[in-house]
Amino acid sequence: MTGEPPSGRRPRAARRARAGPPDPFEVLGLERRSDLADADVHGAWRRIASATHPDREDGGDPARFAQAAAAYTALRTRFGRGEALADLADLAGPSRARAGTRQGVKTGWGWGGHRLAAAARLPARVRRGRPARLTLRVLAAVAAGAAAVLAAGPHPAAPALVTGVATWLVLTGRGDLAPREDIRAVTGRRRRRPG
Amino acid sequence: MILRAGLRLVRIVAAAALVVAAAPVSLVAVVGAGLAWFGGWPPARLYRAALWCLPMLAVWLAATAVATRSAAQVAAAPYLAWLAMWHRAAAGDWPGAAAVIAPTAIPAGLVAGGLAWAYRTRSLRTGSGGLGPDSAIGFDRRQWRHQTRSARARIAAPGAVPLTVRGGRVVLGAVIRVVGHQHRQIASIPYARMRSHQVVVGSTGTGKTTLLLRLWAGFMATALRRHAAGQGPAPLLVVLDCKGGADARKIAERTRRVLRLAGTRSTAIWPDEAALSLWALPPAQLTTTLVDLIEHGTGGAAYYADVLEAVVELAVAAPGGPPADSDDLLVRLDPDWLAAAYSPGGHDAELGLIRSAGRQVGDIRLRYRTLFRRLGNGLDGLGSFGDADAWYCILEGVTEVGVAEAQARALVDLLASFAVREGGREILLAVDEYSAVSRRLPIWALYERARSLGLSVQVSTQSWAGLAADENERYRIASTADGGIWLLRTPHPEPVAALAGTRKFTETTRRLVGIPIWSHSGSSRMREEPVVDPALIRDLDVGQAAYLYRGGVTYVQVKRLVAPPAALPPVSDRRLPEATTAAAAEIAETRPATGKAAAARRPAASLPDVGSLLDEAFGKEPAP
Repeated sequence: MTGEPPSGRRPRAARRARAGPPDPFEVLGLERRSDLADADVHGAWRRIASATHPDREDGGDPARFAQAAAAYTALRTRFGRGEALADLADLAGPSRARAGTRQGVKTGWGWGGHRLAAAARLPARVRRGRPARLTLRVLAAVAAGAAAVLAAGPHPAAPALVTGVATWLVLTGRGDLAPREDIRAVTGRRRRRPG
Repeated sequence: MILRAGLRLVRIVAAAALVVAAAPVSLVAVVGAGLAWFGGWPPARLYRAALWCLPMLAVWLAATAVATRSAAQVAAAPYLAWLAMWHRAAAGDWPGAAAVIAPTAIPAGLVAGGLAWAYRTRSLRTGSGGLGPDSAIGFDRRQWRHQTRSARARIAAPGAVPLTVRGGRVVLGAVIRVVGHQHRQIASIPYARMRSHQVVVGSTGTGKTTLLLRLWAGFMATALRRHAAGQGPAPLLVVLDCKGGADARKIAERTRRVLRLAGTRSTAIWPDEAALSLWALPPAQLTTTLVDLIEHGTGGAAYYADVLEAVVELAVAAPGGPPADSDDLLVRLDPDWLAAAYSPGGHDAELGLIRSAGRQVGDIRLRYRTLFRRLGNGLDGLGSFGDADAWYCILEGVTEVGVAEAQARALVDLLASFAVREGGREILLAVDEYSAVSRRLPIWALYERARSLGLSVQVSTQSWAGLAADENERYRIASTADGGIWLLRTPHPEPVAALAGTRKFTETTRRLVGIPIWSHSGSSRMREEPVVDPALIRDLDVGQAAYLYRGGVTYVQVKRLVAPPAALPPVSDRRLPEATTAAAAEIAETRPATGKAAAARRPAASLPDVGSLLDEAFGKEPAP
């Protein structure tokens, strides 16, 4: 296995990626709407740039200025606004919990690392799946296994029935978990602005 | 007669004795067959369940071997278990009896149940089973209901239907029923079929968009993954929504969110958010496309078409390069401009043409001015198909048919040119509501050269009639759909259903001995029956589709892709991300102080270069 272990401290870049970029609409003080006009965004940027520019007598607010510049760059066109809205929806949507589990991309964790990572993700998959149904299934399996052991007594059928119940649980319980794979693939290409 | 009755009685008694002797197996078989009937399962599912019992069987044999340490005891274990069961049952220990026989009775019972269920379904399908010949009809209808219920339950499970599965297969949903295809619980198609032409036919409100979204997302997910693994070129999805309207905008946003889930980094919505450049076409192609954008007649009117083509060619091929935009072309469509452009010498033929066509040039200019005004700015931008992973192009095919046709023509020409120029892209062109532009967008012509361009075409329409203007073209499009045909509910499915062909079928006639009593004597014969039942297609529910491929059909309950919500409430107390905070701290530390109030703070040494943005907001900085 190569690379970092699945547990322990993650590098700063990983923590940053999890925090996500700031909401550009919020940075410019705009509503999250796809029908914003270019002039709305332009006006908001102008207002914030005037108030925070580092060349002001009071020194401005470089951090806020940098944020606003980045937000304006993202939102200045309708395409950019649409993509930003989709980004925000993506962050809030079901894929957020899957962040970092990119399918088809070698992360350098190796086979064992992937297994461990998959095991670590299991609680999240249970939570996002059908936990009540899965609990019932597990309870039923435990009850059936216990009943089989009690009924069969010290007979070879007892471990066999427990195996059968476990097989049934694994086969049917998978459907109650949220999907394992993240369908997001990394292309390594930056988004460009068409037109 | 008496002998025959006696033999029949003996057979019944023997069967009853066997059922009683193997009571646990019989019980499991009955339960298994009952479950198969209730769930509309094929017999193969019971056989598969029996196979999954092998671990249990193996553990049982291993435990027996450990307990007895005798190979003979292991070999005789089923028989000994059977004896033990009867002993325990005789002693009144019914749970114990069931437990000791279960490891053998369950797999054996499942196999027996599968065989019984296969016998039952086959006898009814051939018309030899049931109380009467019409029993098969009711049985089939009930089984369809059971199968759809099972398929719906299967797609309701959160982890049951991923977007793609191993091998890059694109998953659509759960299988309801198959005819001539291999039965699987999850309906999926190989990625290679997404690289071939496909046709989708279904009325409005039947789940066509849901199906298309799944196909597009599956295509992008697999293609991006292949590209990331170095197994294929980058994909490009181009959707032409030829219906337009407010709904198209909503679908475009939904497509963007769904494709985002599939790993697509950017989805451009044309012409609302992004524009393409028609003028990036090579001059010869640009001339052809510009001529095709204008509707021109045949017969006597062909003369004007020839004049138009000649004038446009002169304007495009003028010395100094092709026009940069529509305004540039309109400026060139002037006899004086053309004469001046070609006057430097060596262009006598062109000057002769300009003199001949001089009277028509003004009319041609007028037509192009009108066309460009109606087309808008969508083709006058600077963009290219390579700028985004996916393009959703909205064409107002309902309100502006002529404009949509011209736009579709231009976009397809641009895409073909892009495919030739860029080479290694895996392109899927999806034309939704194709009927709106089918008059002037010869998709079958694109089919012919699509393979060499690395381009696959997916055409969707509401009906068979909407696929093309005439029957020959319809058949040409449908028969070249080697990636399969998706058929959803439509009022006239017969022509598409017929493309799936026929299969051999045993038909049994039975003698009517009373009313309504049929005997079990009769005759059977082979005959051909259609693979796809048009009545079943007409009866499909929302979200159900039939996938026709190579003489077989798979009925699918399509799983809707859940995209995140479009609108989000504002986040009030969002924490600054560490990157920005760290950058701000760094800036504050390294910035030289300017002014009294900022004495404590350090000015930025390396602020991002936002000069162009500031110029945009406040105007150019005056020169010192």
